Amino acid sequence: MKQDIRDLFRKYEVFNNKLPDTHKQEFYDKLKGFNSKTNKQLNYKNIYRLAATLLLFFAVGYFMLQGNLKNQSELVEQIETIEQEYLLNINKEWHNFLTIAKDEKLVKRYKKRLEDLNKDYQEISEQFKVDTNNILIVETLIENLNTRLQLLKDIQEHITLLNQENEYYENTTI
Amino acid sequence: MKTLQFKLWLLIFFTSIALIAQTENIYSKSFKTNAATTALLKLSGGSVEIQSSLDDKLYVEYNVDFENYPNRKKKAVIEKVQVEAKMTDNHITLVDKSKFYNYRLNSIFGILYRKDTLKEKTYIQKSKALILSEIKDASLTKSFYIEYLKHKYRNDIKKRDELINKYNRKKKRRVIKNFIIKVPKHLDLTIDAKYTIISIKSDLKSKLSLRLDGGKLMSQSLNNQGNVIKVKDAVFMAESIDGGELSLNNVKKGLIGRINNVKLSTEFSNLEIGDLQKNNRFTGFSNSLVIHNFSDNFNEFNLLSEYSKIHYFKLNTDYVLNAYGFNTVVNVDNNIEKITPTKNGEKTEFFKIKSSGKGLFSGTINFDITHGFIFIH
Repeated sequence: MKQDIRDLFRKYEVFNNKLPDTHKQEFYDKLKGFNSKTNKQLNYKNIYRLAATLLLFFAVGYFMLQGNLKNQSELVEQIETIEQEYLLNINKEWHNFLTIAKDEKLVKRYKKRLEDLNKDYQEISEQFKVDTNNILIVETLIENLNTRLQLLKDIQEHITLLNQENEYYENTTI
Repeated sequence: MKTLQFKLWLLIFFTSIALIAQTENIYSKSFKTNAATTALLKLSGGSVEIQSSLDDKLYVEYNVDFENYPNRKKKAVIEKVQVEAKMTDNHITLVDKSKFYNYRLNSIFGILYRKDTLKEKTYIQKSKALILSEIKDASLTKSFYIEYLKHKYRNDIKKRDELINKYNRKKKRRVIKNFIIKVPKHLDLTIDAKYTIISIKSDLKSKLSLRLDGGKLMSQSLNNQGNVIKVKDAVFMAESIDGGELSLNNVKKGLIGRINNVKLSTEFSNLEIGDLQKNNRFTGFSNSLVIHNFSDNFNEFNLLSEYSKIHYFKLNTDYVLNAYGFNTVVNVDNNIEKITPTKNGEKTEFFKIKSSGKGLFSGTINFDITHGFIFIH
């Protein structure tokens, strides 16, 4: 029952045919041709993919940058609007203050205080130009404007109350 | 098995501690000094603690504690610390160029401590101990965000607690900067600071010239006759001041526990004093000043003030009040007692409280007040 497996294969013709001497070169040429064809196909695919990725990347980058710039410019615009509103109100309160303040010394002191605060504001504004995304600097800028407005409101309230009490006293004691 | 479990728990515990809190020493330097040595500290942003040195050396230490902070981000924080200290011709110069801006401090302080107005405020006498506890409470490290929430939602407790709880539940990454300067007692110290939190410990004996623009000055005691302290656009809190000159400009929140023998000048500020002691001289413009208590032997108190509101609470001892000036309203127990004439603008003695001659006599209050209000509660 035992058989040599090589004897079994010898029966088949295909195994008895001798390969031509050039078979190695032929096989190699065929392989090379196949590889270069598929490589070319692969390269084109890769280039398309790479180009698409780069395009997508730059497009997203561009829109994000535009978005950030837009957000930044929106914030700067908002700050400018707030600043304008505050400055208008400060100016209005300053003129109201001038109409009720009869003391030159008082006006001079408040003028100096407001100038000092404005100087601080300019300093902080320089920081804001460098760092437009810093909400802490924005808060400080608004607080500075608010301090100026509050100063003027407080002193007017003080003078008005004092005048009211005086008028009442002078009217009741005459 | 139990021993193994215990060891594992111990290992986890220590690893967690190491991850939660890590201290990095960033800068460390010391200088030998003598009686002629002087020092200048130029600070900009950040926080600094000034202590007394136990020997004749000036020490500079900068440590940073990181809590739950990722290692990759620590480097950026450490790189922000830029301290330079050098000694030339027996003069030490320390410059802190660290890029930790405390701009936010001023905006938050501005929101928290809006200048008081006549309409809103009610005045309750506080003891010296209460003022001291307020100062101690304010000097504790706490979240500005929680303080902000407490203020913003003071009328909506449900919303306030909900937001505070939400914030407290969050795992927080924290960077705690410990910048400590130890100064020998014989050394004259000059501090020029902007947007900085300065904390002065009780044992500091050095003569101090300090200027702070923006930020916060917290002091346990300022006890040197030669001290000159100028604070502008900042918060000022001192448990005790004895001697020297103090100038406050636009101090939205000023608290002094005890004040003795001080020349004080204030502008556009709110100031509360727990205990006014001997021989103080105040001048002021556009302030709100509340004196909660006079000591039993305050001796003499002189106040020259314009466009201000002066509040004080009735003394338990015998005293004299001489009020001089014009265009001023005197309000006793919420009733107008006296209004000075305004017509000629000449200063006159417009109000007086005479000595009763009974009991302990504590001193004389001399007010020179124009365009102001005196409230005696």
